[in-house]
Amino acid sequence: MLEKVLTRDLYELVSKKIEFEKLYELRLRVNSPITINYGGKYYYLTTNGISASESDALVADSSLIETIVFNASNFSIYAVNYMLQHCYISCQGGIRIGVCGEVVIENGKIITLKNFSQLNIRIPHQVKNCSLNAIKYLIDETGFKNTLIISPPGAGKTTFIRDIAYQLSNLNLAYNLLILDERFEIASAVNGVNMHDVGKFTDVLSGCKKSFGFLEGIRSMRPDIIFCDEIADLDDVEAVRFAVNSGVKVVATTHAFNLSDFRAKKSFQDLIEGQFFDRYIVLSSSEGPGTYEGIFDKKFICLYCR
Amino acid sequence: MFLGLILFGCVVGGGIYLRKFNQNKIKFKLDILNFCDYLKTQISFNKGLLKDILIDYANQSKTKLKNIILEYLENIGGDKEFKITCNDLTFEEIEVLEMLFGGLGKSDINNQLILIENVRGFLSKNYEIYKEKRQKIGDLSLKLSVCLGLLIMILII
Repeated sequence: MLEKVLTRDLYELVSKKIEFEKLYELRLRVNSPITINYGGKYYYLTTNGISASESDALVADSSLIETIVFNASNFSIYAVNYMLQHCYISCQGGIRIGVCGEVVIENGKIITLKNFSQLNIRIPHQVKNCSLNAIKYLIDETGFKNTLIISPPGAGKTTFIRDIAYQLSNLNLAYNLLILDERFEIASAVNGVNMHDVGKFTDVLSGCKKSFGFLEGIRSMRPDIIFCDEIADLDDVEAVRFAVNSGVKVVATTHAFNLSDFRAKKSFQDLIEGQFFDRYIVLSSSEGPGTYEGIFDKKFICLYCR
Repeated sequence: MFLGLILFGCVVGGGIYLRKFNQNKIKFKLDILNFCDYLKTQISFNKGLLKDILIDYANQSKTKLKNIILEYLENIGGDKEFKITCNDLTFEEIEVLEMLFGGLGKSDINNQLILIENVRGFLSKNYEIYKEKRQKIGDLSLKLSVCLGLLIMILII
């Protein structure tokens, strides 16, 4: 699907000179060299492929960035404006583009983003079975445990949570799963069709805010387990609390460098003290994205440590 | 008598053709205005994808606008700036229409509506002037051709 996003020249270069499986990110900044995250490390993009040297690097200009945003929006920026208000665009195939530019505010409300200046094109990779070793810590005779996945950005949280959903479906435990895919990152549904395999017992509610998703999702789909990515603020925390109090299990992710950083987050204090989560899985990219740093119980006792 | 009838037919036919030609031009300009209205509705209410909106309109259009839309669709997302070649539009009208196509899909709904409204406003004024002028010419050409045909027929007879 990258061909529908990039310009023809850029796509030809990327597809011919770069191994797609190792391509994680393409970063474009106006009048700066194009960089790529290739196998977890950053390189410059040159006409010959990738290079550690800046000298031959291709430079992005504003027209290239605008064209990519236009392509990514399916030539309809107005149709993805609700995403641009949150500085991203989700495209077919689960490609996510982080967009920077000038925020347009009217009456104190963000109405759009214009004069796009930087892009982070993130290419998803489904890594099946990446969560397999953790599953045994998440289920016991009492059932499934509320789980929070903690990692810094780019360490594979979304890939991991997607795989948990897939594994739970595969285990045939008769759990009904609901993914709240606010940014179209987990299942990456396009026209109602999931671009990633999230399992046969999984429902997906895409593009909605977590607070809405938790409330309406529980009412309408009666899930056993809800999955959501990147809980951050008090609204999200409240939504998780609502779900747990409703008897629904939750698997969520959040950004933090490590466990102690997470424990210091103010917005999570209630959830930590109330022991809403039974399991904490800490990931890092120290040995590539998805490296298990540890699995902890609700009292932060280590069940598995690297 | 027979030759006179043939000549009468030819001259009147010419008049009818000229009238039809003018009517087609008016229809074409009206089609562009309808296209603007269609875009406004589809973008603001349905928030449909531009490609789908354009394909739908092209399928129902019976004027030269269809070709312009199809040509735009072929080049959409390409590196080249979209240029329109059309004899039935003035230089300014072509420029305005190119501006419309150049800006379609490239901003949020409010700005899209402003763009479409501006283009429609300009073309609408031109349309009214053109329609009045061309309708007069069209009707006159038909009347003149009938008179001329009759005159030729009488002269021959």
